[in-house]
Amino acid sequence: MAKKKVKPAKVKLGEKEYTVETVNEETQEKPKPKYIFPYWSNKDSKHLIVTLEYPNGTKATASVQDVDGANPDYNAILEEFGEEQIDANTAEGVARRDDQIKKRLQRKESEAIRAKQEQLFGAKLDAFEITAVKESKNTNLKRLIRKAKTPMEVTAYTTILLMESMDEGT
Amino acid sequence: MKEPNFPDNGFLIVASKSKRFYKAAIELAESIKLFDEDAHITVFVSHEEWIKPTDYNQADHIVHWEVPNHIRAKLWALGQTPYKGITCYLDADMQCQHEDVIDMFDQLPDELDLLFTKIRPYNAKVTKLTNTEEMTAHCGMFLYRNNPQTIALMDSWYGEYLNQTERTKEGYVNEIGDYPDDVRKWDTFTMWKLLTYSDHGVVWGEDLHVRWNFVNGYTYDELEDKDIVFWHYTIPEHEVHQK
Repeated sequence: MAKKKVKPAKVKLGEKEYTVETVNEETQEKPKPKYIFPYWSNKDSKHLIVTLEYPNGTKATASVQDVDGANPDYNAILEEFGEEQIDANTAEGVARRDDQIKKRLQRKESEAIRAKQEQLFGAKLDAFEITAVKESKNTNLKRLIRKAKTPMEVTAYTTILLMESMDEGT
Repeated sequence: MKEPNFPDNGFLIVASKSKRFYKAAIELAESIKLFDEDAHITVFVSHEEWIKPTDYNQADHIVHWEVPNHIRAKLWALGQTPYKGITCYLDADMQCQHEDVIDMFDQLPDELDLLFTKIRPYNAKVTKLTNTEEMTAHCGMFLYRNNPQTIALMDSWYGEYLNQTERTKEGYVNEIGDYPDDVRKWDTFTMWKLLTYSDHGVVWGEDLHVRWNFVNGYTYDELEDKDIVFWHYTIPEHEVHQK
C-alpha cells in the first residue's frame, strides 16, 4: 500500500507564519555511518563485527549478519573492504586479543610471584628478629635460613637452631 | 682517617632520612659477613645517634661526618668511597644469601669502570622515557672503580640530581628537556642522562648477572638456575616513616 504524502504544515510563531516540510519514513534519510575495522565473528555464517562511526562522532559496535544475502550493511562492508582485508583484520584482532590475554596472565603471574617472594623474605626477616637466632654462633644454620627457598624451610631451620640453643641452655 | 688494614675492595651502604634504612643497612652488613667474614663494609649514615657500638660487629667502617640527611645521600657518598680498588654499592634494602658473595669483585671485568645489572621493565615503575630512549641500568646495586673519571661521574651524579629536583613555589628551577616531570625524582634518570649525554670517559656495562641484584618481583627463570646472591626487597613505607 502506497504511503500518503504528508502535506506541508503551516506553523505560526508570533506574527510570522512558516511552512514546515515534513518527511515521510520512506524518504527520510538516516545518517550514514562509516565502517571501521570489520572482522569476522564467524565467516562461515557470514557474521561480521564492525565499528560504526556516525557523522556526529559517536561510535558503536555492530554485529552484522547476512542470513539471506540481502543485508545492506553486510554488502556495503564487503564491497568497501573486500574479503581479503576483512580476513587480515580478523587475524590482527585475534593476535591482539591473544596478546592481551597473555599480558593479563603474565601480570597475574608476576603478582603471585611477588606475593610469594614477599612472604618468603618476610619469614627470613622474622627469623632473624628472634634474639636467639640473631645471636647464635651457628653460622651454618644461619646461612641455611638465609638461603632457604620456601617459608617452610625457613621455619624448619629456625626451629632446629632454636632447639639447639635451648639444649645449650639446659 | 682510614684503618691501617683497609682493603682495596669493599662494600658501600648508605642510610639517611630514616632510622629504618640504617637498621636495614646493618642487617645487610650482617648478612654479608655471615657468608664472607672477610668482606669489608663501609656504612655512611646521616645521624650519628643511630649508631650502636654493636654495629661495628657488622660494619667495619661507619661514617657519619658531613653525610647529608638527603634522600639521595647515596649519591654524595659514592664519590667518597674509602676503597682504592673496586667498590660495590648496595641499596640498604638488600640481603646477602649466598657464599658466592666472595666473588663479588671479580665480576667487574678489567676493561670496565662501572657495571650495573639491567632493569627488568616488567618490574619497574618507569623505564621508557620516549619512543627511542629507555633507562636500562639498575642503579640500586653496582660495581665501580676508584679512578678519576668514575669518581667524577659519581660526583656529577649528586650535583645533577640536585639540579633536576631543585624547585621553588613556582615550580622546578631547571629544565630537563621534553622528559616528564615524574622522572625527576629518579636518580636512575640522572645517571641515564649522564651516561648518554655527558663526556664522562667512563667505560661501563650493564650485564652483571641478575643473581647479584635480584629484585623482589623478578621471575625466577631470570636466574638461569643460579642462586640468588643479593636479594633486593622494599622496606614498607609505614616502616620508613615510623619514628
